[in-house]
Amino acid sequence: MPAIFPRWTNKIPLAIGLLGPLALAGVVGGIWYYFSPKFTDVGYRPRQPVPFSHKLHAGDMGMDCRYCHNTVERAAVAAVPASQTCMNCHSQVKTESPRLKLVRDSYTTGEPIPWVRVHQLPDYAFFDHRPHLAAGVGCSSCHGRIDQMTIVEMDQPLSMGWCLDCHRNPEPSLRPRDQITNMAWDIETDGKAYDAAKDPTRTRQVQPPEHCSGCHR
Amino acid sequence: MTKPTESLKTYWRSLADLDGTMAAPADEFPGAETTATLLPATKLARRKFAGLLGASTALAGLTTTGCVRKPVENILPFAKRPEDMIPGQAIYYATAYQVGHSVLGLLVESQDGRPTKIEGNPRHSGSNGATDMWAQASVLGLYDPDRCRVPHHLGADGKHAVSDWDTVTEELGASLKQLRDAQGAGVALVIPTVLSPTYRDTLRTFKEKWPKARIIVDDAAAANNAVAGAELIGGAGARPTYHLAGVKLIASFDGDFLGTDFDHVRLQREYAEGRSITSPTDAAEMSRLYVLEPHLTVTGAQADNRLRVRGGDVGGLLAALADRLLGEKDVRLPPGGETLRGSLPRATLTPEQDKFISALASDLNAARKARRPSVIVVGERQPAWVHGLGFLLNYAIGNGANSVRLRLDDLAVATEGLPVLAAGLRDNSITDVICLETNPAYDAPGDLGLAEALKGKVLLHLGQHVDETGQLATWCLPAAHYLESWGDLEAADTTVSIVQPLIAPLHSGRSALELLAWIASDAQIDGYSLVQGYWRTVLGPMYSDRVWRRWLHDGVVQGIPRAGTTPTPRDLGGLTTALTAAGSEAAGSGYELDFHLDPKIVDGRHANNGWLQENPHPLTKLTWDNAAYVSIETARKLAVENCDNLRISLGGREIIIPVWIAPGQADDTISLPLGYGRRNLGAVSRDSGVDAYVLQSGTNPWIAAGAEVARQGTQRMVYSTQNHGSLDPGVDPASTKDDSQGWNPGRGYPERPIVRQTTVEGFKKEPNFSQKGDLIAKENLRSLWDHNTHPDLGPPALIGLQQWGMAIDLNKCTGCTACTVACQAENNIPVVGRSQVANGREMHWIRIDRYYTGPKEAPEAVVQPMLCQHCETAPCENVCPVNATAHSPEGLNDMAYNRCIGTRYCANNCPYKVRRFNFFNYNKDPVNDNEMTRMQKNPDVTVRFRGVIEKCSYCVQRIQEAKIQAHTAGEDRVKDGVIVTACQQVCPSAAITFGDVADPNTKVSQVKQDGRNYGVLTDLNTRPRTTYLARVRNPNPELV
Repeated sequence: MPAIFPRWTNKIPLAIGLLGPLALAGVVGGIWYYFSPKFTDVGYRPRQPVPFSHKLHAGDMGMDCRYCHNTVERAAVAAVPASQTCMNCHSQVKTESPRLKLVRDSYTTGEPIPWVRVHQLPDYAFFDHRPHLAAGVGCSSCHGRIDQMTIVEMDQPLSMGWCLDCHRNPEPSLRPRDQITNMAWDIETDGKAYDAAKDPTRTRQVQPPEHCSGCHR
Repeated sequence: MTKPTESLKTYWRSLADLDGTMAAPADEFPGAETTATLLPATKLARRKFAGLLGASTALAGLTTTGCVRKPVENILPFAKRPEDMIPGQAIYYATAYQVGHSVLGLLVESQDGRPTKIEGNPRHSGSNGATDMWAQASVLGLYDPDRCRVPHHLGADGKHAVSDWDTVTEELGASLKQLRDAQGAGVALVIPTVLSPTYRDTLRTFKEKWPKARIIVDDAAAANNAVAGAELIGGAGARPTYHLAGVKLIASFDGDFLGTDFDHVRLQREYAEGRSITSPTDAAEMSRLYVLEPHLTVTGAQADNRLRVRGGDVGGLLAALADRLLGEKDVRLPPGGETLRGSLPRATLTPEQDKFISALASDLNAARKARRPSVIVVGERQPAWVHGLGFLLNYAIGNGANSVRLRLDDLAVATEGLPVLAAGLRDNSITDVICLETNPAYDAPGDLGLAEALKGKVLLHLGQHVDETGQLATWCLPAAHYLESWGDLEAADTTVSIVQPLIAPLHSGRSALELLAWIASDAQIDGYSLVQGYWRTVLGPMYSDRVWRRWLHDGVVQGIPRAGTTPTPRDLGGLTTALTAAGSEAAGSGYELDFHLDPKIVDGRHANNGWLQENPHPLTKLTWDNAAYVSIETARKLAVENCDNLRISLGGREIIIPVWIAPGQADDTISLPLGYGRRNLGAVSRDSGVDAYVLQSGTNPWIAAGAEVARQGTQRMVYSTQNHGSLDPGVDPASTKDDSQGWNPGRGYPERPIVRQTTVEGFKKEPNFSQKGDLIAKENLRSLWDHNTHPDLGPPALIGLQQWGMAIDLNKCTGCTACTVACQAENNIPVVGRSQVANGREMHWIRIDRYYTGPKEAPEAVVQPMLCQHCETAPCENVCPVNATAHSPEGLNDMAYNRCIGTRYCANNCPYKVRRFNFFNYNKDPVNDNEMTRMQKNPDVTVRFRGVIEKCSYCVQRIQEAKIQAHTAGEDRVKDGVIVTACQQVCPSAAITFGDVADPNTKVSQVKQDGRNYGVLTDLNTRPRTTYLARVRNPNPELV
């Protein structure tokens, strides 16, 4: 009786045995990396309806973040500025620029500018800027060197693990609270030289929540 | 070993529970083993589900190939941001709300311009910072998708066609001009109770311009009888108020002053303060409440001594009390009262009634002699002469101007009642009816036949819905909600508030005030100008923008001149005549119908409100339906069980309504809640209950004797939640285990003492009676594991600086269920619908457990709000396989919805039965998720999805907000009293205290020091953070 399966088929179990774990490791590794916010979110850089350059405004001209994002110390969200904020200056400078047409139109018609959201958390996570600023976490710690970005992109993954890394060990990320908007503050050099526990301007020690309801409500 | 003491009586949830015929407690989660008995969900049948599953898989395949990123989200900032507006931060505005003669001052939360949550205004005397469930739910009414959105005009084909305001102004304006030119002859203006000074002013203008028009008031929720009674003894314009502050003795004659009668929020707060005790010495000074009523109300459930009586006999019993009180030598009546005692109706009292009235009379006399304040409260359902007699008695025993006050309402506009409208329509002296936010085609007494008579006669109807009258109207116009319009309201004690809108009208609605101003004088003036203009005139030179802004900010108007005359009882001729007339009436016999306002949907105005429809009735726990409440004896006589239909007929009109056997109901009476059985009002009210207005009569709308009642033969299922979530496994007859040592609670035990109460006497004997109810004493409770050696198994580390806890005073809680609705509004809790409630799947985070105790026919009722106890050693946490529920270091039992996989192990293991499971995607149901109701959602709370468990979070969003604010201000701790949970905020009795239990100086820590403090099921070593203060009743020893 002739053999139904050719001889080479004998190697299949061996191949499965060797390649299977490899493939499995590949799949796990692939999902681990490619499905994580590190890959999906970091570097997300959508086109904005107005080609606003943070590099020009915050970097070259040195405007403080809070000139535009002025609710950041008073509310959960650092509100995107009203068109009126833009027009405070742009009614004087670059009044005819075609790139600013949408801003001028919005100011006259009252229609909002449809900015595209860059830093987007899941709906079940409730982030609040206020305690982070009060604790002395700088803008650049989460948003990166905005002052060097012509088009804003996500610098950090903003994943739960990433949040908890800092919540479990906040000290290295803290800085004097008057340096919050300082983009040039360097965690490695300036941060090492700063000890939050010895800062006399602080009335309480930072104790970030690590339990569920700290962020999920 | 301690055992339940004698003072802890036997409690039962329903008659089936008492008789032992209730389904086995295996039905704790219906659906686990017997899906065949479940009612089908409203939408998805299995086949449809499979179809959708296939389609969605295919779609998912399509979309995921193209795009991995979450959908793009836009941020739309204001072009010009209004001053003080911070996106994402709530702003509160003061306004006011009216039902009948009750006015509540409110602070309404606005989230980015959307009103989302109603809170009470602490500055307003009518609310004292609390509200009721009606005000709480009114915000959902704003977003009711079934609201009338555009003007409608009745075409020649008898159908409504969509119109617009320009056409209305032109065409309706022309018709109105004709009528105005005829001085309003043949016109009837039908309005609700008017408590707005500006509205009254406009009404006077109307009367000037339309002198021949009749002004009719149609408002089933109004306190018309109380007002008529006050006018009977105090002259025209006299308005009564009751005041319970410091009152030691309350006798309520069919009064539901804690539930549906006017000013119930203020009275509930004052009543609860009178029940506030900390020690047996205080308890001796506690107030005592006598209640005589036909059906068990919220007030009746609070009674220390309660007598079941027919509604028609209440007047006779008050007359008997009057006879006894006036027999005292030093009780003096005002001039003209000499003959009054002789004209009192003589009722024949049963021995039980006689004993009750005698005891009450001697108690009242003793209080009078000891100068302890007392009060006799008469319920709105009683006719005017009973009110008049009640007020007079109060004056005679020295309560006048104290616990009962009369004031002169000199600005009142004379109005007439619905019988006048019916008569006018019959003899054609009324041909054009204008209804402003009234609905006489539905809520008029049935014997007036207005539903028929109004056909073709309604020229104009302004309403939030195209309701029964709107359907008949030639012009049906959309009304603006009170959160969309300007106005003002005067509370019973003359506190005036400005009603300010929080949002522009969502659907082109206009307020009744604006429309009336237009009807009156053809002037299109906006509400703001009307209200501000009125007050500018009233104040004269004292008016300034600063004053106006202060009023708007505070929600209370100050510094307005008042006439200041106080009427007193004089000229008792009217009352004497009324008494004589009442005495000559034959006592009603046969079955008596007792109509009453529904505690949930009032007179039907909230019938299309899902929160209120689904909220269990405070006593019977019925949801989504009304029923004919009868006593056990009456049910036996009629040979009916729960849900059997009754045919009730009176004067040729009949209704068929399911029966509900209600312990505490007087024999041979049938109580019928009004407001149900709406016709084509909207999706929520469809098929909800039976219209009882049909049987009402115009002369005495509330009580009717001589009804014919018979079993009809069919059934209509109505659903009560009274047996849902039972905490007591009940008797286990199979257990032979001797449990006299108490080591095995729940097995062979007669009962777990869940609610604990005693009398003042019992409290004196045993000041720690509540702890004696613990099956295992605190010192014998120990955990199997230690946290230090077994961090995963032992109790969680509670290392937070502050530890949250709650105390609920059962002596103050009346079970009004306002907290359930407030919680629903705050926490985005979905409405699940009748069939899901029938399956035991209601989602309320607060369940108000109502227990009966005592004789089956006339039990006492006790209520206990049951919500997540935030156990320190929570049984739910150790059984969660995915750690979706875990403990916070501050003692909160956290719930992470995005982690929950829906095993429901936690709900099974929860001894308090407070965890709720999303069996379906309720929040995607049209009733919860449509373009309108979506706007009500609280943005600080996750909207839950299918397959997750949810439960009370102690309003963790409010805790976090307070903590963030404290931390931002550089403080470690949140100050006591800053965090107010939604249930605590709304509670009219102030029964709930919340705060930091780690700090002994906080209010909640001090309350928990009370000797009455106990935890439920502490024998399970759950260490609940929510504890209860046991109830102490103060019955008259003579009546025990």
